[in-house]
Amino acid sequence: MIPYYLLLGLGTVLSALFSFLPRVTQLPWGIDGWLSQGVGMFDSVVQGFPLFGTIMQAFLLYLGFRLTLKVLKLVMGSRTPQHD
Amino acid sequence: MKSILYKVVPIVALFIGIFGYSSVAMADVSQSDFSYPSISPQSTYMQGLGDNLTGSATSFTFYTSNPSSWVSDYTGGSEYVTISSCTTNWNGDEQTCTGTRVRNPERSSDGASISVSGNYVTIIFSSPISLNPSLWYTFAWYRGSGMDTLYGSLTETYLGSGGTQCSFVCNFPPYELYFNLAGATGGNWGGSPSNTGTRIISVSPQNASIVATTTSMGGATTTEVKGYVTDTDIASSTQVSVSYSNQGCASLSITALQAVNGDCSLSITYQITSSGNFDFSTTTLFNYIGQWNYVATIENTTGSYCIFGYCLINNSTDLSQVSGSFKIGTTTAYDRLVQQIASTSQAVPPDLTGCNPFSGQFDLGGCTAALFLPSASDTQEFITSYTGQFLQYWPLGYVTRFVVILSSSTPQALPSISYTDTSGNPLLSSIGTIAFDPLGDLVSSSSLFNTAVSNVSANPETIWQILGPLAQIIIYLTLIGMMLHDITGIFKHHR
Repeated sequence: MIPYYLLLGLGTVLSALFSFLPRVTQLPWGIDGWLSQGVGMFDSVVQGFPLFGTIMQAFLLYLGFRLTLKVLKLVMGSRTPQHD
Repeated sequence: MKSILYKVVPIVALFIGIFGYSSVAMADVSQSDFSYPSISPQSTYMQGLGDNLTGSATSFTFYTSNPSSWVSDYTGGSEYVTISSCTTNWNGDEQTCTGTRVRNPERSSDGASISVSGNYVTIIFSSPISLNPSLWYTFAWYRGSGMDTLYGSLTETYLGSGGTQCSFVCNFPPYELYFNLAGATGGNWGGSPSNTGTRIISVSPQNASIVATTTSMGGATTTEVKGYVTDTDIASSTQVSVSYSNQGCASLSITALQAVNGDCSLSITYQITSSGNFDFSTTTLFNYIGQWNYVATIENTTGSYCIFGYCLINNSTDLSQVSGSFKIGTTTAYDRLVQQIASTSQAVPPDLTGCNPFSGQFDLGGCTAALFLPSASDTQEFITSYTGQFLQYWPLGYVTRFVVILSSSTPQALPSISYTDTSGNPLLSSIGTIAFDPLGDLVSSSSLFNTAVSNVSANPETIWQILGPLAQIIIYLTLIGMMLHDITGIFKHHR
């Protein structure tokens, strides 16, 4: 709860301070279009061929796991339960 | 780093404390939306009958100038009444009543009968209406082409047969109509039922309403104030003023922000020239999204000496005042902060009962977790709240946009390749266009993968439905194996 309100307070200050900055509505150089199209196409592949979805989910899980290990290593150093 | 934290944390805490205090001190609005009927452009008069009604209503009585017209005209005629039950509180307009018409007495199929006693007209229902205390009941009177008028009454103010509870006091003109719902008991009108003095009847945008806007910086909408001034209160200097202020913007008092985007607050004053009902409206531009607080005041400024809004001698008397708030567009981060802190139920989640040693559920571990670990819902709220705020500002906005695209799920058709030979080769020309759709066959619903193959006619299954679970087990076992390998080093590959 405390970090939440601290973040809210901080976010409010940041919102007020940086309100002069332009809002980003889309990515530059046409990236927005092709990324949206690519994700949409991947979705349609997953709809018809769910195995892709499962593989992607497993990949993301593994990515999250590796990321967690990295964070743990940052905190715990050599005591991290990781086999090198 | 530490020294910065020492400075930032108290400032943020103070910031939160000030916001919390200001929100708690904010006046509450006691005016109940269904206390007053309104007149729609279709000459429909609406009257709230109240909620928390119990019993069975057998008849409905009102007071009219021309009862004989009802006797001859009430079945399918140009004027009639309906009774509706609303699942949500109504706001003076039948369109906002989310519910059903429980009776259409004007319809001959409804089987209702009508009786007249003096100016009182009673519609007797064909069968009693069983009243649900959790619903709001309203009655609507569709007025014909100037046939008659419904009256309020200051003397007949009770609901039910012989009841002592006061319904709406119905002064004339009929902003509050007389009615008698026989057989009904209880009733809750949420405010003083006998307000016949100078008063503000309604302010629009209404309290707790949300005004949609297409821009991120506020928008224009119609503002309206309705009220009533008695003969004794009217004077040459009687006026009604409505002041609006944006909660976040006005509290922060960032003058630079105001210089860029416009004022955080505004005030509109209308002169009241005659007693009776008044209704003023105009289009008003609100420069900011988020919560706007309003205070509407009927005042008599006799004896004051004011120039351009600045009073050298301020001798005004407030005759009536209401306040409330509405939202333009979405809730801002500031509003959410105020709401979170002001609302006891939200500010103190159930987890914090563990922090109270006298609650009987003292749990030091749970208390610590609740205090220092943001919950999933809190985090979600935070992200949702700020996605529309600074997370969209350059350059962080690029990351936000990237995440938004990745999390969107609008399937798009896959591209196909087609080739039409233009070389003039007669062999290729005879083939025509060659179309190649590499994944179409695989993905389409008629592909081999999605074709029902099992011969169980009652529950045919596709290849994926049969093999899918097996494939998932293999994939996830592989994943677990990789994780175990990363941690323990088992499943080492020997060359």
